[in-house]
Amino acid sequence: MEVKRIGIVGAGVMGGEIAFVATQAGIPVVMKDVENRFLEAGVEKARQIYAFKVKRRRMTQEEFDEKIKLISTTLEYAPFAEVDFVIEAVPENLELKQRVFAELEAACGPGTVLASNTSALSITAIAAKTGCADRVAGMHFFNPVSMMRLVEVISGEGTSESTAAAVCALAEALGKAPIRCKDSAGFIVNRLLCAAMMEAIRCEADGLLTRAEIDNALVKPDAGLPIGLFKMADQLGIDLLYKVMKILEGAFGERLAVPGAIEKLYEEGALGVKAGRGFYEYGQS
Amino acid sequence: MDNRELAVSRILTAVVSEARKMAAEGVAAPEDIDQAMTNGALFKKPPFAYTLEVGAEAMDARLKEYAAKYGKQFE
Repeated sequence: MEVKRIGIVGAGVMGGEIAFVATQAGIPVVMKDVENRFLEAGVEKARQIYAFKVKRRRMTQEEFDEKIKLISTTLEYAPFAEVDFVIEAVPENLELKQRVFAELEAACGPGTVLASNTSALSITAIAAKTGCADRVAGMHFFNPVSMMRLVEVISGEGTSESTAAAVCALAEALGKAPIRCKDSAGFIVNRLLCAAMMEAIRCEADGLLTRAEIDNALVKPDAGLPIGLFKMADQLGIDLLYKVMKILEGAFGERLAVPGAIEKLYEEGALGVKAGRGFYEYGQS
Repeated sequence: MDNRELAVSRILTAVVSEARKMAAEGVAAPEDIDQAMTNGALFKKPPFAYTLEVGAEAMDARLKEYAAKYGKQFE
């Protein structure tokens, strides 16, 4: 299946990044959101990534204009009748995603693949309110999408083999490295990253080292992480981590329970870099 | 092993323990789990490659020791 036009639902930063990778591969996209300001933010995100390429002379102004022309926006689902692949990137709320997928079933043609960029919710549950679970799969990109090669391709209980194969094929066409996995809480990367963060928090609680010392040790060549885990937690957002860890705790019990330190930061609103404070303090920007 | 080395060892070994369960559950194959951690989390030492580096028997012994000392996450 050759994808000729992609619909993106949810034009946040993630939606904008996905619009970038799709148009970079020459595939036109139509972004849908509920308010113009979100659409503008999504298009702006893609423009920023392209503008950086122009600035670095990796792209001409004419090429930039051609790429931006490939992005259109809409507040209605009507243009989705013409897309053959949808990537949903709305906020991580199961009821919202279930509603969006039911709307997509009504708006899109019967052959359209419906993929969710969820990082934590069950694909089976997301497809539950549709009559087309065979066409629904997970397509989990990693932030920043323009840099990270991984795409987790998740099959729910009803996902057909041809749907999963189509998601993998599109990921490869976008220059990504798809990895298929089962519809299990946290999929692969978030579950293992959370396990690592939880152990880092235990190391600090045990008085082994301070969080800054742990982060510093992790980025040294012997451990080889690109960034310390406490710093990564602040960048990802404590609220997002709290949600993912809650889901892991529900699925796997005590060994992946939400650490007290995360719960405390979450309750205090210390949500990481964006809030000016998380595990570390950040200057107000 | 100093405290820095122990912290790194505990954190990477906790990932090994969880990755073994994940593979046993059939969520993904070991080589796919390693590739996902390399391309999605930029780990230079993804769990199954790290196990090879440490040695499979040494890793089994370490998991037992850590489970006794530090908790269920290593069981």
